[in-house]
Amino acid sequence: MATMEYKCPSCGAPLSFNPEKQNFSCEYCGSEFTVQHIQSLYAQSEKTESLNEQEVRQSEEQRTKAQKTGEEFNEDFMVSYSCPSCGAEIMTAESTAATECYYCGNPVVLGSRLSGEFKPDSVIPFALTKDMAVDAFMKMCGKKKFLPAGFANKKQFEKMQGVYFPYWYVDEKMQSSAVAKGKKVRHWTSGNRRYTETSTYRLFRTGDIEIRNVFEEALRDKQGAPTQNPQSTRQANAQEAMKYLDNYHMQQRHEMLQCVHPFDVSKAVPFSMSYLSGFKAEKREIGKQEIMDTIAERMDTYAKQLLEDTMSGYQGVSLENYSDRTFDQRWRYTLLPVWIITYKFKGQIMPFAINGQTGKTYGKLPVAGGKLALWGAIVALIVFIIAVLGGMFFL
Amino acid sequence: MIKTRISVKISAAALVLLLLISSVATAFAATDFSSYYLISDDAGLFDSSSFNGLTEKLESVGSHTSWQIAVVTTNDNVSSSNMDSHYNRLYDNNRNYFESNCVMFVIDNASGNRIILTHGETESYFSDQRMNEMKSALKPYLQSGDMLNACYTFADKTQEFYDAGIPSNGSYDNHVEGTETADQKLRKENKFLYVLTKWGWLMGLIALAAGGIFAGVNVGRYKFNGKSGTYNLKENSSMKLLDTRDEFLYKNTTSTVISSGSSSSGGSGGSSSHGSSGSF
Repeated sequence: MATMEYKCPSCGAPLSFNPEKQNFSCEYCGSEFTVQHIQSLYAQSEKTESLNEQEVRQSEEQRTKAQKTGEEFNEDFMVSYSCPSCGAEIMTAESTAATECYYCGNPVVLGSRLSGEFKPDSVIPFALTKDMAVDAFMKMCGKKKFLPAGFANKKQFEKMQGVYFPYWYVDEKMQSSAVAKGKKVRHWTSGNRRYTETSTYRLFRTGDIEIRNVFEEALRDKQGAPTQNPQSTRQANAQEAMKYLDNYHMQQRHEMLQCVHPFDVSKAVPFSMSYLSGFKAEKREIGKQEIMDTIAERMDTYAKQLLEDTMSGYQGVSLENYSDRTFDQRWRYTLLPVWIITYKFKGQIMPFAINGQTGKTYGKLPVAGGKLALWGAIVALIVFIIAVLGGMFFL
Repeated sequence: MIKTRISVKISAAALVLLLLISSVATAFAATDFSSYYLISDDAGLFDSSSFNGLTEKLESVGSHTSWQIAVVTTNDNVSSSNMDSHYNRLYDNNRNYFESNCVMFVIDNASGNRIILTHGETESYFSDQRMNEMKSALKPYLQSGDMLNACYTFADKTQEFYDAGIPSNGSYDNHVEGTETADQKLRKENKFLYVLTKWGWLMGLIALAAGGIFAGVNVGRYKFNGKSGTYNLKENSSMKLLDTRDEFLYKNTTSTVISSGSSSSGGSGGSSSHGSSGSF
C-alpha cells in the first residue's frame, strides 16, 4: 500500500495541518505554509495516489464477497503499509485513510483510499486544536456541579485523537403536495349551556421545497485495527482512543457522532488529502445506494412537516395524501472533524466526542453520588420547610 | 445557572404541595354568600328563581339582624345522631365562608334529617322554647316537602326571635358546647406543631419526592449530556407555496349543560363556638 507523507519544504520534518492557524506549521523549524502552497507542492503526488484506486476497488470487492458468503474476512480487511519515514510495516483497518506510524509517529495519508469514487467531495477542516478541544471539554465540565472530584483532570486528555469521519450530505429540490383534514373548534356559552362547534376542512397544499444538508454517517460497524506496539506514550494513547471507538457498539458510536452535530457545512472546502495530515481519517464504507431509501424517507418526513406547518389555525391535522416529484438531488461525500476522547475514570472507560469545528461535546458523564445526595437532601429540606410554612397558612 | 434551576424546581415542588394541600382540605360548596347570608344548594332543591328569591329573603333578614342567615342543603346522608357534630365541623372548616354570628338551617336531603345550628351571639336568642317553636313552624312545610317555604319560615322566625330580644328566663338544654378534638385544640394553640404532627408525613413525602426528582433530573442530564436534536429543518429548508386551498366540508355542534353548583375549597382556622342546635 502506497502512502502520502507531507514534509516541511524547509527542513524535511513531518508536517501537519494546524487547525488554529488553518495552515501547515512545522513543529521543528517553525515555518508556516498556506494550504494552497502545500497543495500545489504535493499535487503531483496526490494525483499518483489516485492512480492506486485499483487497490481500493479490490478491497471493496473482497468485502462484498465476504458479506455475500457470510465468511469472516477480518484478516483481509487489515492492510499493511510501509512507513515512508522509518520503513516499519504498519497494519491498519481497511477503512483507515489517514493515521500515524505507530513506531515513529510520522503522519501518513493512505491516499489511494480516498481516490476515485471514494474521493470525498469536501472536507470541513479541524478548527479546534487539541488544546482548544480540551478547553471545550473543561468548559463543559465546569458547568457540571455534580462531577466526581478529580474527574476533569487534564492528564486524561492525552488519550485523544482527531478523526475525520465520513458523512453523506444530501440536498434535494422537489415539488410536494399534501392533502389533509383539519378542524376548527369554537366554543360559546348561552344560558346554562355550553356549545362546541367543530368545523372540518380539507386542506390542499403544494409547494416548491428545497431541503439542504440532510446527513447520514457513512461508516459501518467494524473490527478495530490490530494492536501494535506503539513506541511512544502519545501514540499509545491515540491508539487506545481509537481502539475503544472502533470496538464501540455501532449504535452508540452513531449516536455519539450524531450528537456533536450540527457542523457548519458552509465552511466545507473542496477535498484535499493535505488536510488529513496529522489526523486519523476514515474512508466511507457505505455507498449512496445503501442509504438512498433512508434519505428519501427523511426527505418525505421533512417535506410533510414543512407543508403541515402551513396549516396553522387548525386542530388535529391528519394527512390523507402526500406526493412529491424530485427535481434535483445532490449528494456530497464529506469528511467531518471530531475529537475523540476515551476517558478512564475509576476503571470505567467513557468515550466523548467533541465537534472539531464548534466544540460541542457529547458523552455520558459520571455523577458524584454523595454530592448529588447532599444537594437532593438540601432541596428536600427546603421543600419541607416551605411545605410546613404553607401548611401553617392553609391548614 | 444551577441556582435558577433549583429555584424552578422548588417552585414546581411548592405548586405540587399547594395542589395536594387544596385537595386534602375539606371541600365546601358555596354558591352564594355574603356577611349577611349564605346559600349552598348541593342537593339542588332550588331552581334559579327560587334561589334568587331566597337569596333576597335571607339577605334582608341578615341585614336586619346583622347576623349571617345560612341555608345549606346537602346529600351527605348523615344520621340524626351525627348531624350536630358533622355540620358543626362543616362550619369550623369553612370559617372563611361563615360568620361568627350565624344561624344555619341544614337540610340533608339524602337522610331526610335537618338541623338548626346557632353560633356566636345568636345562641342566646334561640332558647329551647324558641327552638321548639321554630320546629313547629317548619314541620308542615317539611312534611309536604316544600323546602322553599320552610326556608322562608326559618328566615321569618329568626327575624322574629331577633326582634323579641334575648329571652329573660329561657332554658338552653339543647345548648351544646363546641367539642374540640385534640387536633383542633393543638391547631389553635400551636399551629406549627399541629402541621408537623398531622401533616408532617405528607410533607416529608413531598420533600423526599422533590429531592428525588432533583437527583433524577440531574442524573438524566449527566447521562444524556449534550444529546439534542441534530438536524435543524428550519435553517436548512425553504419553501415556495404554489397552491393553498382550504375547503369547508361540514360542521357539527354539540352542547352540554353547565352545572349550577360550583365548588371551591379552602378553610381557615377559627374558634369553635357551637351554639344551641336542634335536629328534626
